[in-house]
Amino acid sequence: MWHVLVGERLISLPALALCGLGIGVIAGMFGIGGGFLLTPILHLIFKLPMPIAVGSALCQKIGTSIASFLKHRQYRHGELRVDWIMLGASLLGVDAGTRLLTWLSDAGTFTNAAGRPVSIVTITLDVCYAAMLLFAASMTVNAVRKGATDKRRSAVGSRLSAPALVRVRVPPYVGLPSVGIESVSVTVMAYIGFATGLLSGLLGIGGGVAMLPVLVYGYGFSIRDAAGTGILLLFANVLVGTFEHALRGNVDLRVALAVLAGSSIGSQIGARATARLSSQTLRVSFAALLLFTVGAIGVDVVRSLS
Amino acid sequence: MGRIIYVAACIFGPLAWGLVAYAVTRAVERRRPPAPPRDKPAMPELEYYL
Repeated sequence: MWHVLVGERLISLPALALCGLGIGVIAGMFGIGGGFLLTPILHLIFKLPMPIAVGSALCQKIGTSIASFLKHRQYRHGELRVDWIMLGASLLGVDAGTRLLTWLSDAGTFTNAAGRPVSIVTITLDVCYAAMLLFAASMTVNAVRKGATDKRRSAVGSRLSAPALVRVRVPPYVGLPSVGIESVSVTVMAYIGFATGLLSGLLGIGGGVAMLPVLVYGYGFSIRDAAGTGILLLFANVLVGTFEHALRGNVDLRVALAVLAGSSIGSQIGARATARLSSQTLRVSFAALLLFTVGAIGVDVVRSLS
Repeated sequence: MGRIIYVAACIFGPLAWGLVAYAVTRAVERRRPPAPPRDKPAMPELEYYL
């Protein structure tokens, strides 16, 4: 009753809910969705096939992302214009990512040095995950080193030198009045949306872990505005991504619901725990968590290849 | 052939969408100029969630 058969493996639902609880605590503490942890955990610990881990991880995020969107709208964080500019390109990216995952799954296996078959989709996704998490970790470590604060970032509009992506001049341009940015390139923003969607469809993440550094460090948003900005886009991504993965048989509702049950409780605990920790401690812990995940993925890759 | 068309759509699709989004944003702006940003209500520290 408490176990379900997923692929060829018997998975414990209470263990999944417990895993969801842990991810929820981390997500609540660091203000992220935790998708970047969930897919690797479902694959590395619960041994779910990668496409099912990706599809189910996306599905459980529908609930959390709509709740987050409503909350951020209540506090009027973010700039909806960014979500709108990225939306169409991002949905195209989700479709491309899902197709790419199917194509990689169909590519089968190759033989490693020891003569054992190694799944191409698993190795490719592990490498993509490691690269993306290293990117996020390096951004966080950089911020810790500089001792940058939210306040300084929010005052970016008045700075003499604009952040990197604001300086890219590819027409046409629009202003982002809610966050005090006079003009940004619509073209560049649309391609960033496409990349976010591609990561979402391919890796089963909401995209926040990639989007947040881009908005904060690339456009100079405050962390709160960046978190509020991506939410509508991420909700659309996970909704369309789940639909596309469901059509390909990659979504297991029992897995998604068990994780969601745990993470709903965990995120509340994590958000309360945050009040006891300083912003700097949170950033250092977040970077350590990212690097630990990269390490676990690295061990899996080395084990598969040797 | 289908795959080539799809890859081309992925390359040029975001650009096309960007132009559509720009045109719609401009049209909306012309009808209703953006209001100055309002004060945002306070939110508890780090209680955001992506």
